[in-house]
Amino acid sequence: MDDFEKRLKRDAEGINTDISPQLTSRIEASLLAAERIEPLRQNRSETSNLWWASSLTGLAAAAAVIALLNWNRPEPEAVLPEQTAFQVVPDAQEYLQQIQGRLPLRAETAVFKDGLEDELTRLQADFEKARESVNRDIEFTF
Amino acid sequence: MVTDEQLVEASLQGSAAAFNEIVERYQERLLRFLLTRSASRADAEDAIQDTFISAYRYLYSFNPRWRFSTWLYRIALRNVASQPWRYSQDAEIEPTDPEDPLQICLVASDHENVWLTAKRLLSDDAYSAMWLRYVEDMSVREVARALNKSVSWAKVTLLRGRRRLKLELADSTTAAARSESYG
Repeated sequence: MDDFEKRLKRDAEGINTDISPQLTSRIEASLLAAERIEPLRQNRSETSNLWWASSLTGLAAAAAVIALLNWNRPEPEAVLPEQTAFQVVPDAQEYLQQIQGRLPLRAETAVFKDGLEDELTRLQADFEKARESVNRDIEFTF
Repeated sequence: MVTDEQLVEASLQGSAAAFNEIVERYQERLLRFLLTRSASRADAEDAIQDTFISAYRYLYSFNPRWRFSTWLYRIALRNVASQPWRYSQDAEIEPTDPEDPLQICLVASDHENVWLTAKRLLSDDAYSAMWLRYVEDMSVREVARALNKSVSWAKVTLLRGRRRLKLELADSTTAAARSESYG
């Protein structure tokens, strides 16, 4: 403590503070009339009991809701056998058998018809020429 | 010697004598401080009465982590701050006012009381910080706590207040020596 701090302390003590008896009795009287304000405290055991009680209540409520939902649920429909993805798509041969006679297959015949008819016409013309040639030869021979 | 905290504990358990002991211990110290911050002795006495009543009523909220004196001074400072006559922070205080309780209560001395100088030079908070630090021997943290300020504020304020007071005292000493040499 340096000189400055000593002087601060000494000068503070130089302030006269005689406590009058009236002030003392005033303070005593006001303290007698004062009521202490106690904070709202909950001790640890009370808090933990409340925690358990609230947890159990929550669990019971959750169980009741689950039971209620299961009770009111409609009966499930007949369970279909499980089908895998490749079984859902029908077999190619079976599919062709199923659609046979139901689908008109006309596109292919239309494509090749003209060429064959021309060829047939030419063959008939050649055949006619050959027959006339043979008849002419027979007439000339007999 | 029974500590303040032990007295608080006993008072909380219902001992009226324990709180009376607290009052005995602190009434002079508190009044001395409040006289320097009040407009009159009557106001200082009102403030000390309110401080003890508040301390008694809210004793349950005292945190033993801090010293009891820190808590008590904090209450006293709040009471002072709530008084309507309180000086403004920026107002110039006239220390030679004959109604000033500090002026009235000063014991006759050959030099000006340094707290009278402090009251003239420093703001209310700086004055309180200096008082709590150097008269009540509170740590800087406790000063900050009592004044509801930050620790860095308390450090800076104490440093500045101390420097300013020292300069003023040095100037007055020089002036007195000069007048003596002329006389």
